Amino acid sequence: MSSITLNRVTKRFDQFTALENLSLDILEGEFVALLGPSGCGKTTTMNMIAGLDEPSEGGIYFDGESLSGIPLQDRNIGFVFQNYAIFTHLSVYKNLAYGLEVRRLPKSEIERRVRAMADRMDLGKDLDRPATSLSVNELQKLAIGRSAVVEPRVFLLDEPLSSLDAGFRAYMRAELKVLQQEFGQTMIYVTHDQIEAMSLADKIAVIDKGRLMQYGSPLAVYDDPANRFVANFVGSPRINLVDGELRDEAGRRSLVLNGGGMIPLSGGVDADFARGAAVHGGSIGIRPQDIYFGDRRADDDIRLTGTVESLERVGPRRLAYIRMQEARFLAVDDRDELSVREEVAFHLVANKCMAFNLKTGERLRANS
Amino acid sequence: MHAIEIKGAQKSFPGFTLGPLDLAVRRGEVFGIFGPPSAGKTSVLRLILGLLPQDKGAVLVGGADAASMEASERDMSMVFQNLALFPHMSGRENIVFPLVERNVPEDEIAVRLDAVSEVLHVSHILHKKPAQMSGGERQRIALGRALVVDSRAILLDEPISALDARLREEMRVELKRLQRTKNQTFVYVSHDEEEVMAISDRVAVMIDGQIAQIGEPDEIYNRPGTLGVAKVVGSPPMNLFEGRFSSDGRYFECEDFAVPYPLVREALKGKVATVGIRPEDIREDDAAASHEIALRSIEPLGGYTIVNAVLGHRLVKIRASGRVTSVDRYGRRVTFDPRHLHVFDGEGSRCDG
Amino acid sequence: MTDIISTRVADVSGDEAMDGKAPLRRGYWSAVARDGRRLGKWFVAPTVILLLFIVVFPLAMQLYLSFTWWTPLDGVRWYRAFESFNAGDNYARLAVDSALWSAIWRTLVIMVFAVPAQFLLGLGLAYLFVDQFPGRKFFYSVLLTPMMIVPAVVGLMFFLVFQGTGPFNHTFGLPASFTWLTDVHRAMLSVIIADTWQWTPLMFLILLSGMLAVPPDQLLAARLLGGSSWQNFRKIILPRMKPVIAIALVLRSVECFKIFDLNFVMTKGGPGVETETVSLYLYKKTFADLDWAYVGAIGLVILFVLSAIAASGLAFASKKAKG
Repeated sequence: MSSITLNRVTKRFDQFTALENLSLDILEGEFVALLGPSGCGKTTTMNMIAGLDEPSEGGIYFDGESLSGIPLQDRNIGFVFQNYAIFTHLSVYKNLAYGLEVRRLPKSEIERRVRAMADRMDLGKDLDRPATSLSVNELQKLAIGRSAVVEPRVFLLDEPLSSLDAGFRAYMRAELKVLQQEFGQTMIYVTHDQIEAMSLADKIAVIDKGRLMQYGSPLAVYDDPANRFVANFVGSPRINLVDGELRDEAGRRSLVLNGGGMIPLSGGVDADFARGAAVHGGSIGIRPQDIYFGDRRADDDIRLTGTVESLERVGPRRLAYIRMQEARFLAVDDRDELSVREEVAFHLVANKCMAFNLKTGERLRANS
Repeated sequence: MHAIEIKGAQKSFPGFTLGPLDLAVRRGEVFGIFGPPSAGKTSVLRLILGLLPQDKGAVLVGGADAASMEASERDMSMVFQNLALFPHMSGRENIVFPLVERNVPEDEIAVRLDAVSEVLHVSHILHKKPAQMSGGERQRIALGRALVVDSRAILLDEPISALDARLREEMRVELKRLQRTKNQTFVYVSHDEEEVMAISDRVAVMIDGQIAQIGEPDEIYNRPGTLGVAKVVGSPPMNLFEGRFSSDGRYFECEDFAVPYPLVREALKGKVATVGIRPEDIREDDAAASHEIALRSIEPLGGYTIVNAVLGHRLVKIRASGRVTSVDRYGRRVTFDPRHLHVFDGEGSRCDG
Repeated sequence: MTDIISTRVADVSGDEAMDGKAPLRRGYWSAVARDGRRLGKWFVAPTVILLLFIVVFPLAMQLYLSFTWWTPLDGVRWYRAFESFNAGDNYARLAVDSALWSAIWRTLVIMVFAVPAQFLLGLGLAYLFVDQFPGRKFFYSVLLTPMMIVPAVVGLMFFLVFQGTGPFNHTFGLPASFTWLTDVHRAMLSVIIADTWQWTPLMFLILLSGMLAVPPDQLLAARLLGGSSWQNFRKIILPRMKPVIAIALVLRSVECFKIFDLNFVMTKGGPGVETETVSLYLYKKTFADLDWAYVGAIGLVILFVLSAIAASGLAFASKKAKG
């Protein structure tokens, strides 16, 4: 088990900079998710940790030792591929034993370790079957077991749940979580699905266009996003973000939205924007569950009116799309009373609103 | 008159029978079809389109029997699972292809192209060839090609599955908006249950080649008609307990409940049954009729938390609203919300009262 | 046929063409065009008819003649060969023909050395070509060239190279008396070398495609598990290549058995009969002795044996390929 440190890692492919100055400190035994949209550089990062590629600048360290120059097969890394990459021409036993066989361990030792791992993975009875006869669930366990049996320092998982259908994924998440707790391995998990990252990781590194946007625990990233990108990317259902220009008229601040409409600022969000005096363009972020209908609950809460555009059922909740001129808000309709084309008044909980500098995306905070 | 109707259609494959199927798609509605992989969803689309001739039954398009109509005569567009973009044409040429084939005037083509490419955010890649685009971009071009025509119906087969989770959510909203403004009829197929439930006006759940239930998303979610449907709708899926009713029909017993659960079902006296409860309908509660659980792990998802616990021998998932910061912070006993219990008989059918 | 023609004319001129929709054809041929399988059968038909004339008929004729004593010197047309019917005497004769069996032996010797040599060389070269390297495309085309040359020309090439006063001896400082093509031992070696030179590229081609079909992420997984290139080659690449290897070996062996152009041009079967292969033997019997019925019998027996070997090899390959 090792700690992993990335120190100002930069990677360039000809003209294209895939990663820029990425620094990350992963502690021993931590489960860290690299989260970001396609093409953000998360797979490039993982490839470099694995040794498939070398950084253009900066260094990667395991337990303080630099990895540069150490080839792929000597890094002792466990890797779980998106499609598992099981050796389809071999049996389950041979798959599990591969890493040990190439290390030329004595047969008895190999047998012992393979059987122990198979029992742990609940594959003991399948050892002599061809690997292709396993179900997807079992294949994932085999993929993990195959890498784990050689006791690697670090585990890298490349979107291992993305090939499963949606209903299945919920259960596989729980399985992975249990496995990670059992092994206590340092794990790096690459995904574009923020639900997976939130549910599995100890820490999430949000990456966009090669830059680290934020690195923190799931709830820290959710409650306190460092910038507009993180706020938009993390959270299900997604956050509402409305953009516009800040206006100050006789001491009363408001956000004039692009496309008409105006949001008067009060409470926490007002203070946040007040801090960024030089800011002209601003963004307000508010999560759907922090919008409510009916009577105002707190003095600071911001009241707006709009029309219900459509209603969606997402899991146990109903979501309402509310249109205020050109702006759209997604809110949770917990009272199940709304109907389409209805005019409604809705409130934004003021101290749950987040303020962002529209130009830089940076989060504005009154007390930072 | 319905836009599309299927009456008793059936098709036999080796080892699998599709149908008999009965469904009707109204004009201007989004009709969703979802189910586990290989349930026959794509085959239904092919049946509608005329690419798959049925053994029995009829397919009606616009009220008329489609048996004599070629696929090209049915006035439908399709977004294929494998996209089927023309590799030698640019994005723009791919999208306008159906309009050019129908001799639509140039200026109209330009207008429609603009409208569609703006909604799908592809205006900046129209000049590229498919090989130069990313998977997500290709998928949006395929969508554009189907949307640009004013067809009787648009059939979509997993149209946004290649996109990132976040992009999928956004595209779903855009698609719905586009559908609303043009009042087009959509038949939307996906294995992602949340996606289909969110976008559709009505949904058909398909399992093993049969339609298990048709209804509005609310109805299907709140009252799944069969055990099969209950298992596939909801993420995380419903927690299910197999057991038996007592001989007087007043209690439900199963090996996971320490004491029999008071749940009166006269019709199921002494019979085998399955009881289901959704994760969000389980609450921390110390009351007398509560169950003891052993906590395993939590998944903090921001607005809510999934608690994984063991009840008896079974792993159950509980959806707690708000924050549960660690396993120790959740109670040791839970109850099921009695208004939201689902009971299925030995055959798997829903049993109420 | 007339109804098909009239249907087509009607289609084009009818109202359908005015709709702006593509006119739909309804005749026999459009039904065929829509049904992929029927269309396929019509496309294949001309070739099948051709094959009937080129393959089936001559084979039947050969079979017929092999049961007679007929030669062209008899003066009668071949279809009257039944007049000299001999009910299998030709077959009895070939079983004890020592010249034939020596030729078979020599052919097998060539095969046993040439085919493995080509295989190993081809395998090694294929392995080098799996990954990209600068100039790969260029070297790839260069490597394939020997295969493209007409075998007789290759024979001529090596005839010149292996002369006592030729470039080979000259390069290695060997005297003109150190002959290759006229030496009892070295004649066969030169034929083997020529065959290997010409056909290694084919092995290379087939084996390379087999190697490239190995899923790269499984290879990557093997490397990440600590496997060295050699270990991964042995445990992952080779086992997965079994069907392709079987095909390559069977194909080349069968072809090698029939070797003719090279030894004909290089040594004419000499010195003496040192490099006389089966094909060469049959050639002599056909054109010198004009013993066509006998040759027919031998040819059929060889056809039968080689087909059996090829079939079992291919069956093995397809069985493996499924697993």
